[in-house]
Amino acid sequence: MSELRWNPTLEEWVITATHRQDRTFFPPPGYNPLAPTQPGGFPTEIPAPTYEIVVFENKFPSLRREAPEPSLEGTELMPVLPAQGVCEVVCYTPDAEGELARLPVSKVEELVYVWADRFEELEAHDFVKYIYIFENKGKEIGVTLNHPHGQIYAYPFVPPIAEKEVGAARRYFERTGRNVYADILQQELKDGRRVVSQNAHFVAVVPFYARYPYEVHILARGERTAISEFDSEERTALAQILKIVMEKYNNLWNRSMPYIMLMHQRPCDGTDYGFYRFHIEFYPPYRTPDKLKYLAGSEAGAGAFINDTHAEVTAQTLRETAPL
Amino acid sequence: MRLEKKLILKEDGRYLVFYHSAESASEEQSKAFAEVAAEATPMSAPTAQETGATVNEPSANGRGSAGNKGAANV
Repeated sequence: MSELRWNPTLEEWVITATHRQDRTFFPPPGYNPLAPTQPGGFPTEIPAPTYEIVVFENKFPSLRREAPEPSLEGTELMPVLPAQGVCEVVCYTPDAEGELARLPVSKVEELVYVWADRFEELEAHDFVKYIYIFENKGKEIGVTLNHPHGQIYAYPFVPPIAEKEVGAARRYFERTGRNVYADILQQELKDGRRVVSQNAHFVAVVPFYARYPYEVHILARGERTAISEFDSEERTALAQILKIVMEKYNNLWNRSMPYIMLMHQRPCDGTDYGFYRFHIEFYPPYRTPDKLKYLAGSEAGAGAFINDTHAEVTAQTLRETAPL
Repeated sequence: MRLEKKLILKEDGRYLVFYHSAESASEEQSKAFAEVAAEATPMSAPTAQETGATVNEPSANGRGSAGNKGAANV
């Protein structure tokens, strides 16, 4: 079962989830748990003959609303806590062969509304400190179900990367009185070489400090810290630029590009995070059409990424790749 | 965009939320959503929402509340 184990050497929590060893692993087509349930057919997770968007609690969650007691007692040095939280699955198409990039913008926009609704619902929990919306796409990323889907983790702590990012933004603000994301956006727009696409509310860039060759960040122009803060015009614009970025990825090498897509938002603790800003990051794992970027010794062990490309070059390639 | 949602509880206690947009749904999808029998009992989590609810349009300035839950991490 799940529990949180504290690592005092890195000051971070590790979630153990031993039951996930038994989770569904590439089931045959007739037993796809994310497909709609057909009359007389295999009862899937979704008890309806079709659907638009559904969100449900993961059958094999790392975090549970009612978390079990830990399997052992911790110590003062290495405490153990129940893994309380929420793990949701987001299905946005009944088509097992579909993908987000091929849906119409109106459908992506609908998904943006659902993400915002889930954020508001989940942050109402006292035990939720951070909401992480993401999608793993492709076998290369490690998905265990082919049916396209996203996930939402509502953590009982602020995860390490978010904590580091928020801390850096806070220190930058204390030092300069400015928002680091606003300054990055201003510099990227002025320079222009790393801009992939933009509209009235968002800018997509391969960041100056990209760790993956085709990494793209979608930065909000407005002072927003969570997806629930966007107005209807911004939600439409977000759907539009998301679709453009995903289509460019697919057209880059004329195949469906695997990626990790993730949202970085403010923590859910009631504090003012005006110094921070919402953004979305994409990490495609390929560095060439047939070579994967592995996280090996330097990346996995030292946390020091080595990027085989310059952001200016990959941004130009993506900028010149048509979205349709 | 206006979304409707219905919540059901599975036999093992997990919740499932169906979302529906009359603007973009096919006839078949609208029919399937109409036939979803939403759970009569409001769920205790993630919030005590009413079933068959409507997803609110964002406000003019788009600002949501951050809640007031204290800053301590686990």
